[in-house]
Amino acid sequence: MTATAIIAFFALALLAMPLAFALGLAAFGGIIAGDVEWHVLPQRMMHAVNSFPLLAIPCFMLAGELMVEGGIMEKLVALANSVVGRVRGGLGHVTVVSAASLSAISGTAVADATALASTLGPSLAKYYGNGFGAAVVAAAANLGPIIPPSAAMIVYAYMAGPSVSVGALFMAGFVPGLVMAAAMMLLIWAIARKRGYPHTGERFSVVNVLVQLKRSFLIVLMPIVVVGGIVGGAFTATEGSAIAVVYALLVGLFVTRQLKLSDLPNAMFRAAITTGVVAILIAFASAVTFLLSIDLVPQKLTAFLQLVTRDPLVFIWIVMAVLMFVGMFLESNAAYIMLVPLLAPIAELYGIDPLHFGFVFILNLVIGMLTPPVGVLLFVVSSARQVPLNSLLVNVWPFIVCQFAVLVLCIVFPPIVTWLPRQLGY
Amino acid sequence: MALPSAALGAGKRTEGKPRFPSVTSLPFMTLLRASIQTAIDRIDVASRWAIIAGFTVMVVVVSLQVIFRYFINVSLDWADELARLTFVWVAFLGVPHGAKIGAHVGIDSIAKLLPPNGLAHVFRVCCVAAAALMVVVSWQAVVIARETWDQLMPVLDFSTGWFYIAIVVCGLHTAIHFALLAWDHEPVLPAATIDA
Repeated sequence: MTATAIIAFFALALLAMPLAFALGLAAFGGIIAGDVEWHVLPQRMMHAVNSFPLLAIPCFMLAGELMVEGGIMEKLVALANSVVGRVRGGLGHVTVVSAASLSAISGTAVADATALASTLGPSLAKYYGNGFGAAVVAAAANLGPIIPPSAAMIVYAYMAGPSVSVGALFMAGFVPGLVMAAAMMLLIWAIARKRGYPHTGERFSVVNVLVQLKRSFLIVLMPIVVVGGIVGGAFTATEGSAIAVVYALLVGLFVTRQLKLSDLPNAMFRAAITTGVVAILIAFASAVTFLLSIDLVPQKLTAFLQLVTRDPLVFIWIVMAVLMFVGMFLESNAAYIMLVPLLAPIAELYGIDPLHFGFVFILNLVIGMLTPPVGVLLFVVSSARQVPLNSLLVNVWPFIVCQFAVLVLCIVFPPIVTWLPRQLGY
Repeated sequence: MALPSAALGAGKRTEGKPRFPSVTSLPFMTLLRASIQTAIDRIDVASRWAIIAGFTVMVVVVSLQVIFRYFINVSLDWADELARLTFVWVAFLGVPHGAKIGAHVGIDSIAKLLPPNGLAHVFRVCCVAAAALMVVVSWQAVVIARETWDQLMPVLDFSTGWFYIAIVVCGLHTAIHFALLAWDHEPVLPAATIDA
């Protein structure tokens, strides 16, 4: 049954069948091979998708899109420029700081990359060249799923079950997100210095920072209200996501006044399609997982891995190596959906903190969005900025190395990940 | 996710030249194809508005839950169930629209190496297989919906079968889109990203 499902899945997936339907057919093949009742398929699908926590995915997507459509980018960029614009490589720093701020609102890397490429891309290209500018945008956009809120963390927490909560993962991403932002800014400074890029921003002034902060106050307040509310226990992540939608709508309609009610249906429709893509993946993957559990595959995999090593750290490194490879070819959400139910329980058996394991798992696959040959962010930015992939690749590799260095830090020093959530009682 | 503009204008079929003119060039087949297209365009429009309505209900209900809890000190018992029901419908109604525009993710590295004719045949086989799968899923969802129709949700007085009806609708709608893609559409490689 398992063999049928696995062979069918790989054969179909390699023939470019969408992964969700390849999983569905694999599950169906396994059901026939194992002589299981056919109605298990819709039952497992419904069991997987009928979930209140998953509702946060479309809502956070919609909130992020409404905020960007509502014209927050200009205000965020102006604020970032007032703080770090004057440092050497200033526009690169502004991009990273804007991406970090945007990440606290949207939570998806691709949306962030599109927004950053359209607002900061032209200036970056003018002063630093199109290749380096595009590389900075692609790398900075990776902060999206790391700094809370994060759709990736919602998917991971759902697939991992009760061992890790969305709120804990959100908080786990905060410090590593800042570390990664700082590391990328350091790298940009070093490259700008080496290549002699000109100073671009105005001289730093506290008054200017305060003026810009006042102008963008309601935007900066949003993540504090939403993420603060979730972490503080005022509402769940799902409720926070709905509040974020209402907040973004009110800011766009009445504060920035750049959002029109007529923008809303299309934004909802786009978020629903994306949700459908995730939901059908989860639904069919759940059917496959059910078949694997009948054949005791998780237990067999655990026994095999424990023969290989009993050291938790070695286990993490093995998983990281697998994820690096997977991240080069597979979309990250599809990878969470297929691999988390298998690997997260094994990590617990090794005595690894589920929160630590969950975060490094996510971070690895997020970096995978930047690695060729299937680096989604490379495609998005290359297309948005009309930069040849080769030129982008030449410029982006130092950022990939930098982000993997942060991953190694997070693996070797778990408190970088777990300190803040533990302080907040998770 | 940067969706193709065709995704936004409901009722518009995604662009693509007929791949198998020998079949579709027959007058009867052309008429049949056009009639199916008209019908599916209408279904797409209806589904799009159902999604928008469901999404609105979902956001309003969850927001009201928070507002009532903190400002009126009342807990809306039905909010969780209604939000889940609308979410399930919104998510499953979104699936066929994703199939229509090629938004479902996959691995295209090997398919790209195929010659155009080989790719067209592989694409057609994959679409037919996916359509058949979704028909089976719909059929089995009908079986489960009928079996569970008398079971009511704990708070709302609705049948739990309504959850399965979402799968039935999703399955049939998606199957039609895959069948149409197989019929006369240029090969569409799967998307590389979900946007999350």
